[in-house]
Amino acid sequence: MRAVGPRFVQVWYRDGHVFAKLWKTNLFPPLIEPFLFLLALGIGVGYYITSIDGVDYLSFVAPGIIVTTAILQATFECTYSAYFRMAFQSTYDAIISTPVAPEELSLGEIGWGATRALITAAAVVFALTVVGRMPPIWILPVLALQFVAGIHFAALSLNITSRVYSTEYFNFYLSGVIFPLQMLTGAYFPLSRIPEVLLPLAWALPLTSMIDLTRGMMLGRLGWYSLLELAYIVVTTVIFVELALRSMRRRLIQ
Amino acid sequence: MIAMERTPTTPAPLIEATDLVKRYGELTAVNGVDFTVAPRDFLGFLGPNGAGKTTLMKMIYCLVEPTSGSLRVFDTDVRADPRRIKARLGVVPQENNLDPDLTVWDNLLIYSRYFGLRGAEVEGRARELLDFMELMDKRNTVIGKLSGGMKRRLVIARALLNEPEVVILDEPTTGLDPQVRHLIWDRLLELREQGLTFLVTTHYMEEAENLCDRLLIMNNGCIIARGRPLDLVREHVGEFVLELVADPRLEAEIAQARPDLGRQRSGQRLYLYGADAEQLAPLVRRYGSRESRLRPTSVEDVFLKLTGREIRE
Repeated sequence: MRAVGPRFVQVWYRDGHVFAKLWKTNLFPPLIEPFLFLLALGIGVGYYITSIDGVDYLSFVAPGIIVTTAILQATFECTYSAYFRMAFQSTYDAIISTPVAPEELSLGEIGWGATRALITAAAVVFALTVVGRMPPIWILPVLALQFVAGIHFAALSLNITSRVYSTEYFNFYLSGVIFPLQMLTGAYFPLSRIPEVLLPLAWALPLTSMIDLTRGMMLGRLGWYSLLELAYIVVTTVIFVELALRSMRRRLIQ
Repeated sequence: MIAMERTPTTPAPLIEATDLVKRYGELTAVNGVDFTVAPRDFLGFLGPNGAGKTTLMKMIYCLVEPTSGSLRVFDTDVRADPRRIKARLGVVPQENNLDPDLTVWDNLLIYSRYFGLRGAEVEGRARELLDFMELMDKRNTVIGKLSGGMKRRLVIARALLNEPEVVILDEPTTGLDPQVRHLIWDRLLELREQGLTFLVTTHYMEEAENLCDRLLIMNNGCIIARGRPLDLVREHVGEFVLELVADPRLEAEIAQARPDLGRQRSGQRLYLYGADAEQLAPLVRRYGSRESRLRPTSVEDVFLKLTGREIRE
């Protein structure tokens, strides 16, 4: 991390600028999808379920949806999109022949992945506010947490991207790692439904803490353990960012 | 090895490589290379694909780390402070790594930010450069819609944004048509008049001879000959060459008759080198045909003489 200076902002700016140019295709789907999804769950599935864990179904899964769509967005941005920039457009090579260090490039990319996660989370939060499932006082803290979660998964993904030589591996990463995570982290159903022997594994996953903390804020169920969850999220995020910076440096500077 | 004696009045070389080596596992890409670059040099690295030219350039602009040996740019070790070196270099890589979704103008402006350049001053410079490379009327065009020649000119303009002292061009005109090539050559020579130093890699002898005042000929990671194009030619192959289609029997006959001439075979063709055209004229009368050629030698002939193979594969 020593090599990192303010230059990473320029890489972040570049990504944002390209995104903004293509805003018509980039912005609308994330705004509309959450509405439709929530409608389906709230009106459709919710009809059959009276309550989960003391609340109605939509209120229970809403936090899970916020977090999972946010981290998926960060993951896509720092796998396929980042790989495309690195290997097909050779954008990374162009950037590091300037005074921007590889670590700054990586940080800029991670920052952008987290920004896209934030944009997506904001869209879902907006939809939830409209249907009355989002306590206004927790909007900013929830979004801040999604940004951190975005950094976490952007870093994890960038690390993978720095090691692969084909996009095939991303299929494995997404279907073999990311998607199953949703089953083990309390996103769509309470952890109490998971076999007891898997509970330690479930709690070892930072995603579980991210979802539980988000749910805690939205349903007013915070406690001292919430601080532990936050600390766990932050510490694992910092570690993964450091690992991503190192791994990408090895890839870019032979 | 070219060693520069440093006295108080001699300026330090801009680039200094000593016994520079790059190995990728079993493969040695650069195998003990020595050279120096002085201010206002126009230095060419000539050689076939795989000679190590690109790897050498990448070490200079700090994209690749040397395995062993010393490489100093602007009197700074490339391992020690790459950032400071990159700020003073202009890099035109082999591929056009432009941002395809952005316009010509945006590409320049965003790139300048990586150098910490912002505002009216750099915008003025961008405009100047677009004018210089004849791209002004394309400034709002998206990269995807540009031709290969325009993209190349843009990459060169981009490399000049930070007012570099040394510009590195890796195969600058490969694949471009003649008008664009000549435009680029003219511009580079103009910049050279303004005091810039250039390093160019190429496998086109025309480019090497037209642009460079010194050449380093590379093969298999080593520098096999160095000097001014005319000196190289005079030293290794003489000024004229006669190309003949000759089978081994005919070759032996000529070898016996004219042991004074340098000789090289490449496939079906036999090359006979002489100091001037008069030396070779009798052979033209005797063995000449529609397939033979008597012509001035070029650096490509030097390469052929030294390695037994053509530069172009």
